Amino acid sequence: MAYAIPTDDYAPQDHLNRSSPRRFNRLLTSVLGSPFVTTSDLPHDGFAAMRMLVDEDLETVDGAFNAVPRAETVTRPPSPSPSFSTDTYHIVNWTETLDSASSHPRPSFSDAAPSCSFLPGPSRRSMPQGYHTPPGHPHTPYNTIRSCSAGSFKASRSLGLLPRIWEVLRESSPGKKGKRRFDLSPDLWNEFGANGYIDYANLPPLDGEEGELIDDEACFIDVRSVAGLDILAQIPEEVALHLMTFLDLSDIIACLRVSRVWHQLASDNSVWHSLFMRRREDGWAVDFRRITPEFSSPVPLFAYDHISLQSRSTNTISPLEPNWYNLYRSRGELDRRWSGNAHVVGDLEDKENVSAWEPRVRRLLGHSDSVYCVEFDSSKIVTGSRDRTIKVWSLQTGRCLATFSGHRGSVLCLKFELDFDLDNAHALSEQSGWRKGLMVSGSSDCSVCVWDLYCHPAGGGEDMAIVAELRGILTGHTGGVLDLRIEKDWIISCGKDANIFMWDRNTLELHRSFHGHEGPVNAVGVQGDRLASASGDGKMILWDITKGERLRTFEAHDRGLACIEFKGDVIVSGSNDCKIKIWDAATGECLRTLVGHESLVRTLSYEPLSGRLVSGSYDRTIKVWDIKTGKMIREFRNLHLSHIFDIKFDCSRIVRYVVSFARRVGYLPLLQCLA
Amino acid sequence: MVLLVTSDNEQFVVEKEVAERSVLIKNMLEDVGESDQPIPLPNVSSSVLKKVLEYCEHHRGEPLPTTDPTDNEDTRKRTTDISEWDQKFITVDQEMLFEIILAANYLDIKPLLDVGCKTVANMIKGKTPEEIRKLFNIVNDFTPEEEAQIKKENEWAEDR
Repeated sequence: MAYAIPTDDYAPQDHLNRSSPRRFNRLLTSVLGSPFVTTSDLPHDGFAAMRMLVDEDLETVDGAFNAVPRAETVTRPPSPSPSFSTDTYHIVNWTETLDSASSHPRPSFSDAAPSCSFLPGPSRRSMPQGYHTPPGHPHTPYNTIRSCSAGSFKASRSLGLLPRIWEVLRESSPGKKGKRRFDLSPDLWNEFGANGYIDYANLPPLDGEEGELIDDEACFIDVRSVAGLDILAQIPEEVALHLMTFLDLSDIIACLRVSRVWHQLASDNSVWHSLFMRRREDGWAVDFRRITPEFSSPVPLFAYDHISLQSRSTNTISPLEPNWYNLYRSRGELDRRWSGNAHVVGDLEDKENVSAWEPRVRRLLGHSDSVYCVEFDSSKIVTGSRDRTIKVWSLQTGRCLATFSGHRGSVLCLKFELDFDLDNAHALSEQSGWRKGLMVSGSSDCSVCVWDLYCHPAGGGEDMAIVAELRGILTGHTGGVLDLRIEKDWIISCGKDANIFMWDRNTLELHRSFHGHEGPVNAVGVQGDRLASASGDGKMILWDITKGERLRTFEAHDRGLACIEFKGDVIVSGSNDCKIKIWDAATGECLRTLVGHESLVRTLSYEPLSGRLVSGSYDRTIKVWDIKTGKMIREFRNLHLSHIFDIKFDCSRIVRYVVSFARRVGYLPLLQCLA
Repeated sequence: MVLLVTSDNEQFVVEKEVAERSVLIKNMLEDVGESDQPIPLPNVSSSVLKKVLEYCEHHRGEPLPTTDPTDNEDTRKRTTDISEWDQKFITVDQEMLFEIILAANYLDIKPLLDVGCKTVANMIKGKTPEEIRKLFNIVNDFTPEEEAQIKKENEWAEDR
């Protein structure tokens, strides 16, 4: 199948017009525009040289209105070697030399000059053979032309000139039949070589492509703009889409506005998918389980009625495919809101827009005493309180869905399998819709409760149903249980008694304990086989879970540690000395110290993809940090009337909660949209 | 040696190593085996093939790009950097650029296709829609209302 050859209105008259004498004059008047005089050709400063030479050997060109020093127009040193002369060039007819047997007369020989080849002398050795490359000679002619001409500009100006002209000729002739840009007879070439003097008056028009001299340092006009061709619209769609993946957001937006065809290409889901994926280092990622219909609906990207773009159907997104344009847009908006930069459209003083980034606060009222811990996923918030209960709240409506009692003391910490209800592996049976997950909670009563959570998804306007069944109680701690982790095979708990215990998740038996801290272990974090623990004694210890060995001890802070986050290879610790420190788990090096809180840093939540860290402190502020730069991005004050005990966030929202007199959970939806 | 025949019936004798930069030709040779039969390339003219062969010659011996499906190029940072030689090579007029992209696509020479695409991308970069239209000689076929609407719809992306 032959591809469409673009229609071409490049008639010979056309380029005669383009390079009318007037235009040529202008080009020559300004040194920059001249194809044959480049600054690199001039001895020193081009302009100065020109002025200097004005009274010397001037040559009238092109109708005598402009005079150019001959020495400059013809860049020809007195005795070049090798120099141009006719006999250094061969006209090679490929077909004849190559394939006399097949006796194809070369059909395009008369087409234009470029169908034959002028080669400077030095490369003659390989020429007569055409494309027959002799074994020991890797340089085939099509290469030689280029390397010779490109390599010899500086070394020999004489040698540089003609190949460059040739270049222009060659490059501008894609061999289209009936498309002759130059009518350059061999006689003319002979003339060039014979007297080393270019007769501008008789030179055929260069048809506006002068600037195509590839190393013309003196001309920065993009010659390609002369003969515009809607390349994107004419190459196959998949190639055009591939091409667009090399563009950035601002360019894609510009493309959307070029023409209908471009709009359609730039709207393609694959283009936006690529744009989105390239933001990975900014922490952009998608949890496909959590994609809402808004982002996967099979509606066209642009739902305007009066534009009927052709073949809209190709833009329609299948129900299962996320709408990357919407995802990108929302994710970008989310980042703006996190950073607190108001989004002001154009010059509009849209108050709604300006205030949109201000977090809306929703307070969840229900616990009768302080809330110590919070966890949330895409649909529910789970809180543990000093009132000894655990409550589950709907993230969407804020309603309390369930209350679980079991502990005989305050619920100090809890963890559950996030979004277990979205995972089919957790389904109880095909039809019922119920999913089963695990929750653990630790209490000041020194016990850990292990719960089976059963969840039925929301539907028909009803909130989801959730129930919990106490599966077992882990006893062993002799003080309050302060922090917990659920791992693939293990449950890990740490307590006021300075102990860290590792329990078998299935049998609920104690598997191992880690001893080393001298004070209460306030927090633990696990990554793979490594466990980090933070203690009120000011130490942080890194352990090997499988061997039970201590890997490293960090003399971390001047005062006790209250919290840690262990994600990837980074450990973040918060302390009573008001500081947050960031550690390299592998080397033990302290990478950064974040200063700003005025009281004990009680809780941390860190997201490695975006490098975003949220900290909550007894000073009643919440601060958002960028770990990559160490800068505080923003701060929330006056949201809580008392100590902040726990904070959790994900890309799309911060949930945090507070306690004491307030006895409430603050819920801070920055933007409810995205996983 | 491989014998290639272009759309305008020109014949090129090319070293196998050079010709096999084209995955199309490479696969064809693997399927057919060594043969003296010419390989017809009805989609490529001689002038374009000359240019393409120049590229293949220069890049001969370089490892072919992997087609490993795990090598997800979406996640890699997209760069439009072009090596110095390629840059010089691809400094051609738009029509030749267009032809090279088509030929690289047809012949399945991914690096060359990328050079062509990056070049066009670089031409687009940083330009306004009007500048793009001018550069590629495109007629604005939107109504003023449509234009206004598309502009409005994408205002969110401004000043980022």
